[in-house]
Amino acid sequence: MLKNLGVLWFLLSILMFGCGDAKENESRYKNRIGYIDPETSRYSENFKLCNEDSITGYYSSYAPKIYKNHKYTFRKYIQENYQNKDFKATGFLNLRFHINCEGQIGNLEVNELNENLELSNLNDDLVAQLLQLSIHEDNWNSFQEEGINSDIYMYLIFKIENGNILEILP
Amino acid sequence: MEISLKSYLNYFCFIAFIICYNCTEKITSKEDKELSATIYIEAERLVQGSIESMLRLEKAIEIDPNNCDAIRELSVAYLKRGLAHKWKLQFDKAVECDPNIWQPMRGYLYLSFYRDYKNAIADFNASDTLTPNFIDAPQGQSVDYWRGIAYLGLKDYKNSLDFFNKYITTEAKEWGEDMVEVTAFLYRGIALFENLNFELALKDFDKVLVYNRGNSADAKYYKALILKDSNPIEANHILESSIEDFKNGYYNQRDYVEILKQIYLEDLLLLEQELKEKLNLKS
Repeated sequence: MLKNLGVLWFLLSILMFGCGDAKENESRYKNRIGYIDPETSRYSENFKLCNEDSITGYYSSYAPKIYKNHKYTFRKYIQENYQNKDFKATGFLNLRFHINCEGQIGNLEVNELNENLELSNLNDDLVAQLLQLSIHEDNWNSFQEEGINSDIYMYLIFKIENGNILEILP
Repeated sequence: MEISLKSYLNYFCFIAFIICYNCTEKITSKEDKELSATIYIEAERLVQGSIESMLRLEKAIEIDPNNCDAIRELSVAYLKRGLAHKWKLQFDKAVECDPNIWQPMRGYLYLSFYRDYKNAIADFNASDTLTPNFIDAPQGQSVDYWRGIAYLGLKDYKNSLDFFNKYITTEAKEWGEDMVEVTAFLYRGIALFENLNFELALKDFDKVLVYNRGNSADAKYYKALILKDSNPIEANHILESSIEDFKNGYYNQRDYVEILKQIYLEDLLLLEQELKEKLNLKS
């Protein structure tokens, strides 16, 4: 009889587990959306945010305010310095990073996506070039809020077709 | 008395039925739909993308798996923070939940945030079938207006003009020309300019100026581009006014993303330099 009770308990447990997957979801959100984990991102060593609890630019992009001399200049810099070495890659390259209150760049996360916005692999050389060009500090202004320099969250998306940069977003 | 395994399985089936019935009841009951809607509103009041907000949205969906607004809202923070792959995964669920509403909206997002013109057009076209005899208006504008922009991005000027013509004609007939979104004239003018139809392009840029009370750096910039060879003095005069408009904030732009064909002060200064050289050569 005990054995049978055990079987029943096992079956009921499975049933209850299936109904209660909301609890499992809670573990999905360890941080706010857009958080960059210094443990898993690049250029995090020796990079310090001035106020981790008050990073600007999460609600909407602050890009227009922090490109030095507008996005026009950034686009020109990329176009003049990027070399398509007969790359075949097509998709999107997404870079997410912080610019701290001293104008330094760090906590860089890289996501390579295919045309359907799915994680994929582009070309290592292409990615390395765009990454190095993007984090060039002369591209960026530090950002002031009420007269105080503030940390900034920034993202870029390069739309790429056969190694050519079609768009720089947002 | 020994109870057999068969009897236990019968009990199990009965209890399973009760539990599943209750689960189903939760999904479909009016009370739960209302509760889900309430939790969704609470989530919207919190910081978008915060843990608290995301958990509430998850809860709203758990209570009512057909709360398509909550399913969609769960994607927005990913969109705004540049996490395209995560946005897409979640937004596709909203499209599946309510394609009539969210498929044309996905088209708008493909267009505005990713400049993915082809997928945008596919979603706008799908809305024609999903809601026949009704023109959807994601983000407050007709899908015909958005298709005009998408085809302009693809440099398919014929289709771009066709959709802008359709949009402008429909709106003007229904509400009057002064109620047409003024950037439709600007973009149609740009499509005409790119298609080398300068005469009609000038008419559209003049319309932009009429409806913008004479202020538009974009319209004046394109007018100056058209006139720069035939009448550089007039072009220079218009360009100076364009630069003034730009500095006063009268240029086509929006928050969140750079718009298609957005102009920058550097574009205007480059044309200014070109015109100065032309005028110096003449004098």
